Amino acid sequence: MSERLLVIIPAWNEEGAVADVVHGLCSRLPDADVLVIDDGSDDRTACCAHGAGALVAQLPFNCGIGPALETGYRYAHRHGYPRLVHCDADGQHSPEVIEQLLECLDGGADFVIGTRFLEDDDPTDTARYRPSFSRRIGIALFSALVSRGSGTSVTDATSGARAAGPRAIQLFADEYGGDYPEFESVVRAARSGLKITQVQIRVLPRAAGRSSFTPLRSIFFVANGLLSIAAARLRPVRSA
Amino acid sequence: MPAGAMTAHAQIVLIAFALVAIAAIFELVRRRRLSERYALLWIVGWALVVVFAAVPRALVWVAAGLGIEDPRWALFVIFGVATLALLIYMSIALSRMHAHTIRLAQELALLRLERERDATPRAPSEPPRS
Repeated sequence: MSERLLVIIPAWNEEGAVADVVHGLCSRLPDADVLVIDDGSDDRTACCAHGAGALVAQLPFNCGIGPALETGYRYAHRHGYPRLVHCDADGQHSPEVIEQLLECLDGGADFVIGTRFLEDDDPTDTARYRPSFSRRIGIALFSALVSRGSGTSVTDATSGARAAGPRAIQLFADEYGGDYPEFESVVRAARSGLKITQVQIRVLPRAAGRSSFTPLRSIFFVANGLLSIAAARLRPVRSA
Repeated sequence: MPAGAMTAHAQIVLIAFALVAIAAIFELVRRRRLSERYALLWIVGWALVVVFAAVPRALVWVAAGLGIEDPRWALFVIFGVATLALLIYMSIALSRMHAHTIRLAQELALLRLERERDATPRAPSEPPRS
């Protein structure tokens, strides 16, 4: 019998996809508790998630991805879950991905990152994740910086599919990161002595909704990301 | 008129203005519209205006101390630096308030979730209350 599991799904205006994501998870992982964190949506995200059988934590206004995930980690920590997985609400991550992450976690890792870049580069494989050129550059840049900052190889630092064991849950219940927490969290985990591993995953095209990125936001994202990595590397760490 | 000198008229106007400003800040504190920690900052600022208006030569000494020949430039520099320092301080205060607001929102979301979850019993896989 495997240990209890909490799947957290941060969602902001994802009424079109969130119910299917929750259904998929519940049928594939019947023992898991699914928690959707509604990050101040204007649409019926919370209602759809609740109807699909998920626990729903509703933030009263949009707080950003970092605070939303932090809410989920804090719930897991307070209610004693030893394992936590997070995935995106837009349907990019299939339940198989969650199982892959869990397998890696049960193999002894503290923090698992699902990477979208497969090693076997088969150009005829249409199911592969193919980001635009600028996005690929950005991901490569940040992955390199995060790898340097964390001392572990990370090929997809922006991935939203991650799994955490007890030590990571404790660390991130306190703080996961600010507006763009993907990089900071990895650097902090590594510097706190957590064992980080990557697992290769396949993502699906998003089922509904649009990416939250615009050109201006991308510039802001890069500047913010650079600052957060630099700060995370220079901050004193509490031993986990 | 030598550098750093003022007419008595200008001195009186400036001091009167500063005292009114200090009184206004005190009144804001009394009505709880402004908290003491920020009020203190403004009172100190206006008190310095009173000092320099009462003793205009002080500005010349300060300018000499900063290595600036013209006291008007010294005034400009001091004012600029003080303004920037105040803005940084405000940004810090704003960041702290933002962090507090986020934390409150999170706690509210978790409280509501826990209350609803406890009100409607769910599947047996539900975690025990801690």
